[in-house]
Amino acid sequence: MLRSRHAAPRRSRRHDAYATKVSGSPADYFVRTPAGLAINYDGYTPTSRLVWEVKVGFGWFFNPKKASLTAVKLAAFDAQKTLGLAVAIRCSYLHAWSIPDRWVAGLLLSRWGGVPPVLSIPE
Amino acid sequence: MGWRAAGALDPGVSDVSESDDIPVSRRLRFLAERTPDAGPPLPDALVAVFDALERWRRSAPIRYAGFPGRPIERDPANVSRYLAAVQRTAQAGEIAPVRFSSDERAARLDVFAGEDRRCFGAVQTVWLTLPSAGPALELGAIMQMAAEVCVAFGAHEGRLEDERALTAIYGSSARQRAAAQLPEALLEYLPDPTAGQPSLGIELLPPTQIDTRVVPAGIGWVSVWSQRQVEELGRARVEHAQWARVAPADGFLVLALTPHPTNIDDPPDAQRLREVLEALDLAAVQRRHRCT
Repeated sequence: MLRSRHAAPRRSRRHDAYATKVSGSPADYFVRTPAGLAINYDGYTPTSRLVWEVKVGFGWFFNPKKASLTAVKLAAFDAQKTLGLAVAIRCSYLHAWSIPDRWVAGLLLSRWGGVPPVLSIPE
Repeated sequence: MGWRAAGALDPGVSDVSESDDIPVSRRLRFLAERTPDAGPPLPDALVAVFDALERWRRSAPIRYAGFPGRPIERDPANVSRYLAAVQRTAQAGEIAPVRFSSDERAARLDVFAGEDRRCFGAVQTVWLTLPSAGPALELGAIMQMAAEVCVAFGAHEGRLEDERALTAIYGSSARQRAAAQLPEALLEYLPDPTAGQPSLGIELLPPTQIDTRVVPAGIGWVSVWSQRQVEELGRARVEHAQWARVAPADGFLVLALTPHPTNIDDPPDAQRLREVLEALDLAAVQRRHRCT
């Protein structure tokens, strides 16, 4: 069910180092479905067919002074999760997220009901 | 179900005025969900939601779309064009939330729309931020707003969620669901969202694991349940549970758990939530409508 897939270059040093650690792959992983849905995952682990989304730098997430920005970011995460799952399901991948901050990871895990799994692998 | 504004709630509690400097609540959000074929087309439904929200918070009308916000005329055609633009960018892999707001950046009121896949099909959601204090957070105003948003959106359920309650109630079953999908080597990195949370002794299934058209996903400070959901739980049982306030509204029952925002860190509030969950046997009814 794939139209195309390929490794894609990364952009941010801290994020990329974490993506490499979590996924075991040195590059992003671009996937496009036959219907035209496309996403750039943060890495692909061939042995488990896992396609990853990773986040770093969300220590501010529970800061009450940034509540509006937190809401915007949560909504962006929701949208990214929905697209990531849609592409993964169509292409028979397993989609997972990882965030070093375990409180943010726990919040997303609860908010999404465990689908996709949200891990807290240390940086 | 008619599409008029809810009429059975306290008159005079909407149109509240407020100071501009009340911060947004970090923990509280109101969410409503519907199936795509319920109610008016999405752009029309969203404009009706914005109108309902303006009756609730006159000083924070929705005037922007996107992030950072760009001014938007509040009519279905413009909302439709904005939704189409977000969809086009998402299909190209550029992800942005559907966001409407009262202000360009740090908004007093944010409204987000989204879609999710469930066992019974697609659902459309709308959720919004709430102020942390002030007249707009008084119970009568919140119940009126919740009912009007659900009617305007064509929702089958609305709930006012508290982030801490969310993790305490759903964390355990969400973790189990996640664990079932993962290779064993990764399980040690799966966090326990309930760690450090007050234990309620009751776990509910997350909305993703039940047919929410039939059974409510949970109990928030304020919940808006359809007639179908109320009948499934048993009308008498619902009406006689220990609510702080109950009001009918255009095919819904609007239920307030406590007179103030429910705080599960506060033992009396946690006890009230536990009592109502037990009285309704909500966990057992959810298990009857479990789907994956």
